[in-house]
This record gives sequence, structure tokens and C-alpha cells, in this order.
Amino acid sequence: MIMSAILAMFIDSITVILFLAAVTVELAQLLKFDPVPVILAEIFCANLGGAATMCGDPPNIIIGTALGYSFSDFINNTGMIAGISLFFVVLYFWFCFAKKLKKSEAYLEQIDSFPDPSQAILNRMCFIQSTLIFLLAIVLLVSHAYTHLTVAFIGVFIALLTLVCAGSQAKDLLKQVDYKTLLFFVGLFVVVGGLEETGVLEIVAEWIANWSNGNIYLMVLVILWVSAVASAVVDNIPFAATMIPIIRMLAQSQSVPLTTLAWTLSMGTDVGGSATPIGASANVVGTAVAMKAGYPISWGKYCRYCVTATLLVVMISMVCIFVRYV
Amino acid sequence: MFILVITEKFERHIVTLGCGEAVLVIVFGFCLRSWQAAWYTLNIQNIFTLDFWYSASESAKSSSGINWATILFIAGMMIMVEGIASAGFFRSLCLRFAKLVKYRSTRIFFCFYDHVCHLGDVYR
Repeated sequence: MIMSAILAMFIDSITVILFLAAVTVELAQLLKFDPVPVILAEIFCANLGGAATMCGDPPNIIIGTALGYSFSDFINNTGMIAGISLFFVVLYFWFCFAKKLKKSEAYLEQIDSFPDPSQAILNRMCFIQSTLIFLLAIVLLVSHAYTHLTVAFIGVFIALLTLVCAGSQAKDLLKQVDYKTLLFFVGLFVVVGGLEETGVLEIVAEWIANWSNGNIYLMVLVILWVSAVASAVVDNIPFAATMIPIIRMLAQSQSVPLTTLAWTLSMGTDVGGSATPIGASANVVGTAVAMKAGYPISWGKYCRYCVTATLLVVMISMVCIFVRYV
Repeated sequence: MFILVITEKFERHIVTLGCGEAVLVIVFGFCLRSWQAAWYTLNIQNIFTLDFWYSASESAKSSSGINWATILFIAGMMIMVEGIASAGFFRSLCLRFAKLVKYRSTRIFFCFYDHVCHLGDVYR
């Protein structure tokens, strides 16, 4: 959980979950435990870790660049809230899953010998190549704010490099790609685009301006909770983009510090996206990895644990923002 | 769309693609009568711009419609993960990791704590 959050601060949460969920499934198959609780905790913590920095989550990139905030601005503000929240989230998930995980440890006594880690490497050359490609991907992702290479470029470049190194096995790699998840994203973006074009998202944003009527407590309350609820059902990227002009307008007309509203929007969109399996890209990818490995995560199961955790973090964020900024 | 996805009656990609098609035909075609809006939402033209591959500012990310950057990035990472998985990277890593935490699932749950504790034991 904590490794997931720390990695997601610097690497895109989608990559963190692709990597960690795959490792978790491998471990679960070896040690005969249910990987679903661990994957759920990893997804939640990746989203929370992403909220801590400017490059961790796409809404933060949009907010930071549009309003001119730096990496350190985020780490000093949303980073502090995310750190406090992480402590309580770790306790919450431990409370939820400790019994289940402890039960599975009984199986350990039945295992006479554990396989040697070095046996897993079938071809040393391929292993070294793969490790170097993975490290290169991390370096490119961490430094993309400086190199100005977009995530699309990095994704395509790393994929081509992997396929070239794979040689004759490239065809098999392409066959194993989860095309259903990619098509799911295409359809989702078209529907959200429809909501944007018809002005539905803007109506929601304008309603916040009218309803709060100059009261900063109400503004923070509404922006935080509406962002969280909207991000749980609609992708948080277009919602954050739509909300930026609204918070800028609110700050000017109501004389409210723009930073307070920016951190509120950031926490609302980043954390709210954790509540449902489609709220953030990492959730879609994490549940897809679990499903592909034979551990389907239903909406009911996902929401049972993650909605409560989301409510907990939104409450903590609200208290932190009220205490520190209002 | 969200109700159909939640009920899990159909595969989720079929639901979103079906609803996306309905948005293109019903909302953009019949209601708005704007094929330009439909083309804008499909956002294919965005792929053929320099900003899509190399951008001095991140403002391009806020463009609406299909976010092809996200889709290409995820596809690329999927290929990379499949590639390094076939080389035994994940299996090797997970076995090393499991050995480090003495194969206990509760410890794996808190992986980083145990990793730190283990390192602490080594240096003691």
C-alpha cells in the first residue's frame, strides 16, 4: 500500500497499478491468498499518492499548469493532506482485510519448500533487456516535465522498444494486450465528450458558484464534495478541466484565495475518482488486471470497501482545508 | 451507460462503445446537428499535431473528446508489462519480495513497512 502511494507520487498511477497488480497476482497464486483486497488497497493508495504531487495524477497536471503552480506547491499542500490521509487509509484497509489475510497464512505450513527467485529467470539476456526498458520508462516518466516528451510519446516509444527487443515473440505480446480495456476507454471518452459538448458539466460548475453565494466554507464544502461525487462517476480529467475557469472566476469575484480552491479541487477530483471502478484510469486498469488473472472484482465488492475509504479521505481533506486555509 | 456498466449484464467495453455510438448519432447527429462537434469529440486530428508528441506546455491535455494520449500510453505500458512479464521479471521480483517478508500475506499487504523493518534488522 505504502509502496503504491510512494511510487504513484512520481510515476503515473496507471503504470504503478499495472506493475503492482501483476506482482500481487503472481504472489497470490504462489501463496494461495486472495489478491483482491491487496489490489483494492493498492489502487486506492496509488490514487492518494498521485494526489500528493503535480505529476502524480492527470487532474493535478491540468490544475498546476493552468494556474501556474509548481511541484513543491503541490507537495507542501496536497502532499500534506495526502500524507495524513494515507495513515488513516492504511489503518482502515488493515481493519477491513486483516482477518482474511491472516487466515490465508495457515496455508504456509503446508508448503515444504519455496521456489528459488533466480529460477524464475528463463533467459538472462531477455531479463536484463526488460529491466533496462522498465527503468528507462520510469526515467522518462519522472523527467517528462523537463524533457517535454508527452506520455503518448513515452508509451509508444517504450512499446516499440519492447517489440523490437522481443523479436519473433512480438506478435505474441501484441496478442496479449487487453484491447477490451482500451475500447472501454474510447467509448467512455466519447460519452463524457457528449456531456461536455451539451454543457452538462458546465451547468454543475455554475450551480456551485450560485449556491455558495460568497461563503468560503460553503464554497470549499461544495467544490470538494461535488468534485468527489462527480469524479466517482465521470472521468476526473474533463471535470477538473471544466472546473478550473469556475474556481478562477470565484476567486476573483468573491475575493477568495485561489490556492484554497485549487487544493480543494485537486483533492476532490483525485480522491473522488477512487470510489468506483471507473472513477480513475488506475481503477479501470487494476480491476482489468485482476479480471484477466481470474479474480473478477464486481462493482459491489469494489464500492463496499472503496466508497467508505473515499468518504474517510474526503472528510480528512475537508478538515485539513478548513483548519489550514479558511 | 453508468447503470449498464454497474449492473454488469454486458461486457463494459460493449456498453461504453454502444453508448458512445448513441452519443455520436443521437446527441451530435439528431439533437445538436453538429458533425463538427462529433469530429471534435473523436479528436483524431489531435494525434497528428506536434503537441501530441512533444509539448512545451501541458495545456493540450485539457482538450475534450477522446484522450488518445491516455489510450496510447496505457497500450504502450501494457505491451511493456507483457514483455517484462514474459522475461520472468515479475515472477522473479515477487519471489524475492515474498522471501524478504517470509512469505506472509499480511506482511505483503504492508510491503513497504516490512521492507524497511527488514533492512533495519539487517543493519542491527
